[in-house]
Amino acid sequence: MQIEKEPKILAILCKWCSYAGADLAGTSRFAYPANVRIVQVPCSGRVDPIMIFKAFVEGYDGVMVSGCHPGDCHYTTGNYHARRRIAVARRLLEFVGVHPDRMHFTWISAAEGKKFAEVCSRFTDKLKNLSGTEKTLARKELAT
Amino acid sequence: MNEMRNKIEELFKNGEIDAVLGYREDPATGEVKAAVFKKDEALDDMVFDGRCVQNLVNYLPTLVARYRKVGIVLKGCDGRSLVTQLVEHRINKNQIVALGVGCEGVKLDGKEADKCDDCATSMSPIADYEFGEKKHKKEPAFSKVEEIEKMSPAERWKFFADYFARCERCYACRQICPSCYCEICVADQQEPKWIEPSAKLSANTMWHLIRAYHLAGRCADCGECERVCPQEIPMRLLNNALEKAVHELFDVRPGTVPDEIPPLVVLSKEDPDTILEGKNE
Repeated sequence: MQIEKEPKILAILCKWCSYAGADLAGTSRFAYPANVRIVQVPCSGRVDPIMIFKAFVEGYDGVMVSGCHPGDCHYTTGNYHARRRIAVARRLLEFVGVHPDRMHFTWISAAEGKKFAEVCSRFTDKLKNLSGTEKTLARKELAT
Repeated sequence: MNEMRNKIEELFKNGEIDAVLGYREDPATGEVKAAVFKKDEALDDMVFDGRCVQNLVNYLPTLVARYRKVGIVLKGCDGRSLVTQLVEHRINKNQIVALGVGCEGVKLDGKEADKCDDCATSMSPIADYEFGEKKHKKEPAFSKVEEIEKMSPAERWKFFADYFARCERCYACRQICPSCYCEICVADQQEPKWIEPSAKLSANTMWHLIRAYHLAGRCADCGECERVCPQEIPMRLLNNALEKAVHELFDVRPGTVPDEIPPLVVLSKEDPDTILEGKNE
């Protein structure tokens, strides 16, 4: 299988903060790597770890999840639930062999367009450093 | 054992229970299996020893639907399992009489079961009556999980991928698990189809990850999934890894404290953000 040089990143962003933050990064013309594919969810509390598992199995190099800062959730407590779930899911993925650098979880508010661009660049760089290591979990049955 | 039999007879006589879920030795074959003892039934072939491997809690939901009150013989691990069921309100505590028995470890294929190595609960954490010795053994440990954690990520994946590839998706692990009782399992769900039904590595990986994750903070480590697995996939490793994770992250040991709400059901504003960071970062 040919090794892709450019890492593919799945970013799962909450509608109210992080997605708006990504929007702001766009309208403010902050450059960030084109490796990031964004999925919008209503709230980070909507993020089922099965989405993260699926992303890795389908061959994504890295997954990032971002929601509103703690205390700022549009639905009051969604991000607190997300924090617990994602922390556990992360431990499980690490345990079966996903490199810890392939996952990134953070809080980005609607005003932090700059932060979004920075997080994306940093995460992409991290994944580029991992390009020599095996993409664990990724399906091998299909020649992609 | 006699002490327990007498107690059960007394409970039957007083009308406190209508049936008892225990272990019966088949006089013909000598096999020990789960059995329901009803009122006026002889308790002579009721046994409790190292051959009583099965987790009886899995039979409870059907029994409490049929009988007013059910007694259940509990090993330490089964007791933990019962606690998780009570917390989730799957079974009503008022319908149960818990008969805890001091367990000295069970045997599988002639040798002590793996799950007994790191077990610290010789007696059920929930028991209306206790029989036999209550031994306070060591602190629960996760020696096998720690061995895996020493490996590099690629080595770990190689280890698990070999096992996952063998899975034939019979879902015996799901059927035997007392905590796996969704009406429509995510693995059977057609739309969206998160997990493909075919037995190939990618789909098997999805299944084993989500099975383990859904039990995070709920699995009491009764070890039934691994026991029934025809391919001997070490599912307890995944379960234990998450048990260790919830203990480290939220200071919870599933099943050991009655009435403790599973950690992934509640939220805490006090959780530090550092829990989102990788362990090896």
